[in-house]
Amino acid sequence: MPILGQNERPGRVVASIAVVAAAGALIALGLCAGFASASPLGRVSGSAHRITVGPHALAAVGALAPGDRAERTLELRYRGRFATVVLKTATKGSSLLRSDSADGIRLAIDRCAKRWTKRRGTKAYVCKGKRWSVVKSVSLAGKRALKLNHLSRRAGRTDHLRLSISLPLSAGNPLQGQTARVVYRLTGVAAR
Amino acid sequence: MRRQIFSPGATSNKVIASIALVCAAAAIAGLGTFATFTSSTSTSHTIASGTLSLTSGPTNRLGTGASTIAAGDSMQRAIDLNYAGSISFGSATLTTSASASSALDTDATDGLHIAIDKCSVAWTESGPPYTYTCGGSTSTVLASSPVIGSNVALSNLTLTAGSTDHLRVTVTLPSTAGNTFQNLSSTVGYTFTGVQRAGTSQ
Repeated sequence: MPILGQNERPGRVVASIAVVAAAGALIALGLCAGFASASPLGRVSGSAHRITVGPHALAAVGALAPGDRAERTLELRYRGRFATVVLKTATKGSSLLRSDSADGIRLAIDRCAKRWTKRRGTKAYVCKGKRWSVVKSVSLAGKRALKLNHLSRRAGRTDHLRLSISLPLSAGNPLQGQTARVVYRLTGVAAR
Repeated sequence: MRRQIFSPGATSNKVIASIALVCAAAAIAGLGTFATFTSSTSTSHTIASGTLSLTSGPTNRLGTGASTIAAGDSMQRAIDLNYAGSISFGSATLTTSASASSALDTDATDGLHIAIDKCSVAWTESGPPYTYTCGGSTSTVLASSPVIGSNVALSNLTLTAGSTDHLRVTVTLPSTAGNTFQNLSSTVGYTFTGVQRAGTSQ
């Protein structure tokens, strides 16, 4: 029976680890390859799963008074299937409109099964189909991510969204003449 | 020197353990790949709140007093109210107070009374003593009432952002004022307050 000397053992063990590491790497590559083959477009995540929103620039909301509400519509499109979509908002510059959690601007999002249509003679939009609440009215203060509910999140689908921006009636004089540039960033996590 | 002997079995156990570890690492790496598979898109816009501003001028004669008034006398003073902000008003009120007080302002029956009219164009002034005529149409903003009042509602004002209301304030000492009103003096301050219009869809 061959006896391994101390000088011989480390080389064997190191070699074994190297082989196992190589096998591990192959297994890992295999996993990746398997993932790619399950979804041919999955090899490049950016092209396989993509959400896009339009328009990229929403119409400005100007001269809001307490109690006012401004509505803007968005089209959210999916390439690939998504498990969740979250919204993060950011503001360029400082403004009480964004930083005041009690009296600053609030956001609500609704989804309509059909395109939102403008109510005649008003600046409001109405839904002539099934409607869902995607985000209930929340303050835009803070940096938390909002999970969007009741989206289709399915490949090839378009969700018709309406943003409702409001300034609470409780907003006092300090919130006069404030301006905030709000960026809405939607991030989808691909479904497995 | 003692030579340590490693049996083939011990080596294979270590190798198997290593494989298990590497597989676990690979699996975790795989999960990590799934978890970070995301796509983002963004849109933006500017949101601005408006301003509410109530100013007076260029005409403002309310600071001009009157002396040696007698029962039955009246004094007219014009003031322009400007709705200078970007938000229209929904209503406006007048609050008056006396910093130097007398029966002229405390007697609600025989003391001073105030009335306010509005002209669709600027009042034409003559005097002093000041009197005013309107070259357009007039409307009643405040019917005759005791000169001191709090948050008294004003009617028929334009209230639209960017516009001006031309007002004429008439203060009268009623003819019923008796001798006890002689040689009295009061200083009356006028505060016009506006409240924004109701919320709308923008």
